[in-house]
Amino acid sequence: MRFSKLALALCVSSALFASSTFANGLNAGPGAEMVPTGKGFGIEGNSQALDQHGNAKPGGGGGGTQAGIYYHGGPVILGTTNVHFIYYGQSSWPNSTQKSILENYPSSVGGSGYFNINTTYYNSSNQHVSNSVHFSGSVGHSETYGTSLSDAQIQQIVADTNPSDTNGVYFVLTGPDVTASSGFCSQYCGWHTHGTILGQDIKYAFVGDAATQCPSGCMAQTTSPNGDAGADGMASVLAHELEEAVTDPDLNAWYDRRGQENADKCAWTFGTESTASNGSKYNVVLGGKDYLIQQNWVNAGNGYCSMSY
Amino acid sequence: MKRLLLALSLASLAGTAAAQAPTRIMTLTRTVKIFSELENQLDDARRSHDEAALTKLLEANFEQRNGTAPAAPIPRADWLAHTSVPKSDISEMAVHEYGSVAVVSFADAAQRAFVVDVWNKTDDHYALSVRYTSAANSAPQTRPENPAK
Repeated sequence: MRFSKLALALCVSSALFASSTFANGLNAGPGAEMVPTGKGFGIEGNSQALDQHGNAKPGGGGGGTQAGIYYHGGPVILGTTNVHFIYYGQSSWPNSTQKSILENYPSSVGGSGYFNINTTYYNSSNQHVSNSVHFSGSVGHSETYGTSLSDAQIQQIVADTNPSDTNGVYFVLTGPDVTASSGFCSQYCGWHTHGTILGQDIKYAFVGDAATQCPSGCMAQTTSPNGDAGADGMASVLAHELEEAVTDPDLNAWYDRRGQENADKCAWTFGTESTASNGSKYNVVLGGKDYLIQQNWVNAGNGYCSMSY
Repeated sequence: MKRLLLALSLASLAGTAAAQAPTRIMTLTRTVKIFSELENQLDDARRSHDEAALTKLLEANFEQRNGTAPAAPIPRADWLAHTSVPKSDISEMAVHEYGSVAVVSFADAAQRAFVVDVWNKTDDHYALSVRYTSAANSAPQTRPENPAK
């Protein structure tokens, strides 16, 4: 056993000491409407837009479906979704291979059967998400906030780039030497949210390179179809966050009774896989590159996880 | 009310940001998914007295230690005999891996408890070695912000 008893005792003790931090969210009664918390579970929330069965009220913020995910009255991103990358890390990251893997995804996912799944989501005016994505470019950000980022520092990194695109999603992508102190690797591999930055409602997300920090936690495989396991692993999380940001940009549109958004319902499921020449697995080809990307929830029929619609 | 408390708690963390840091929605790790399933399997096996599953999921020398009586561990047989507890309702799971050992923490709404489980991996499968629990009815604490770099 490689794990020392002392380290184990310290870890358990500190976790128990922190137990009261986790008291929130423990009182949801049976049948209570849950909203996303960002903690991987739902809490009791505003159920005004829901009927007694937890479905969206007709005319009261959108239509409900039988597809296992519900509309709660908030906006979705309409028209072309713009994707902005902010690379935070050492100057050597990302290299050309990593950059190509990451940037090829938003450059080519628009118009695909995979992104078309998001067109099954709509707003209160029955305007549907479009199968259109534009990669708006990338900027680098030096490690001025160190290598262990708080959520507030990640928002500040976005703010440092003077974002103004309210129809875009700004991704803070961090290198392998950077972690996020609120639970990267132990709880999450990425997240999305929104905030008022420079007077605008800016949608942004975090995705970290897990290759050296937690390959078993945040990567589906350690052999990479495109020559860099960290970047290939990030691509699936990037896909997850993008489809959630499009269908639930302000965290008040589409999620289920457990507080799970569309991609949460299919996390770490990949459907039919193929094998590349180097032995790695992939399930979709976009822009000439093989990716192993998680499935997404189709909001049609009874609802289901799929790689296309 | 909980949304308000959560928002206030998160807002206090955002001192250096352009605006308050709002709630964010996470992509849970693969290990959180794996151990969520294992915890549910163990809970089901305990309730249904599924000896085959329990043999696989629970180590022979398992014990539970509670925060209210840390020097009085509950041995495996007694733990299994006490099945009148409500079905677990797990949330806020975090998983830390240390070689063949995984330390898994979560809130159990049904028990109103914070739980830390230590799972040990042998022969390609995990079995629960020890469980630590404490009541989760204390007032929420805010987390200190990262120090300035």
